Amino acid sequence: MTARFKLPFFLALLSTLILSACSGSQTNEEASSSLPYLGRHEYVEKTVDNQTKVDTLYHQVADFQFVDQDSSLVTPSTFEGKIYIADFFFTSCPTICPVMKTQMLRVYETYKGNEQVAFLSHTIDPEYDTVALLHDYAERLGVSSNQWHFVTGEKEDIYDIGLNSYMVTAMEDEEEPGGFIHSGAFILVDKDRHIRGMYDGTDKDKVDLLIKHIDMLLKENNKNREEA
Amino acid sequence: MRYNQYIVYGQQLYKQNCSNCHQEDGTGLGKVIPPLVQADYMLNELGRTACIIKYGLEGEIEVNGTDYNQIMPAHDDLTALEIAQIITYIGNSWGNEAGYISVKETESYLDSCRVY
Repeated sequence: MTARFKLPFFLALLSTLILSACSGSQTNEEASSSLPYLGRHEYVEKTVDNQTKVDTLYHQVADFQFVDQDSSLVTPSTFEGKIYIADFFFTSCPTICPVMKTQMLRVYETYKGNEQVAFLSHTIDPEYDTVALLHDYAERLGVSSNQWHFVTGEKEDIYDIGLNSYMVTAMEDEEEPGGFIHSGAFILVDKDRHIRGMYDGTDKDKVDLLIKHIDMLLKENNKNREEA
Repeated sequence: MRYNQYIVYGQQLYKQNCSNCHQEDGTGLGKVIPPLVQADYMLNELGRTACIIKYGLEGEIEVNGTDYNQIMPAHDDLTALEIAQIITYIGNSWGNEAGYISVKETESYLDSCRVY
């Protein structure tokens, strides 16, 4: 990583920490409050009718193009109008992946068949995790490929979107068991591709909180729909 | 007395080395990672289980009628005593009743599989 990337990444991380600290205190008044927007915000000045206005641009997941376990192309339009939960893993992972997948399965079971909620698991070992292997893995987990996409693609693209869009670590590291280092985070993304929460996917309590927050986002969506 | 000690240490070692994959309650993960709960493959041959913990496993196996095909990594750093404690723990949890497995027994199991 070059020094150029370090500062924004650090700021993003810092704001994540601050915001997640805030969202922690929100739990008491959950019903009334809404979820934070994570990542770096940009402020853009606009002049409308001679009046200067400041628009806030929230951090947004960049465009992507991956291939899932059915060889279908997965892009942001796959998740149009949906909330989705993203994570990073690899099928031969001997460390935190199985425990993450157990927890993700729990979330999946909660929203099984709900067309507003989808799942996106990126392999960080695309050389080994072929489409056929991901297909076998998904089938062995017993999940529907319409709702839960296990994707592979160019290694650089996957690492890049992990770091710059989802703000998590995902890279090769010979020192690690299995040869990769990756964060155990579940990332909650709203229908406008903004990141609204990050949760430790190895911690049952944090995953319970994720489920609560998905419910909140669903309510937010339905409210916006009624108003529109 | 020793049995109880093995269970306590075995549980700790299980949490450190095994539970990420086989889960704390021994249920495994779908058809990806086999369960240890009432698992015929494990309980029928505890010697083989000792060898698999130490040296890992590759290829297809059948557990309680379901096929699994996931690489299990080796745990070469675990001693015979630690493996005896783990097997005693998993062999007597979640309704399993394999009884106490001594370090001597485990050593002889491990000797028998050292070839591969």
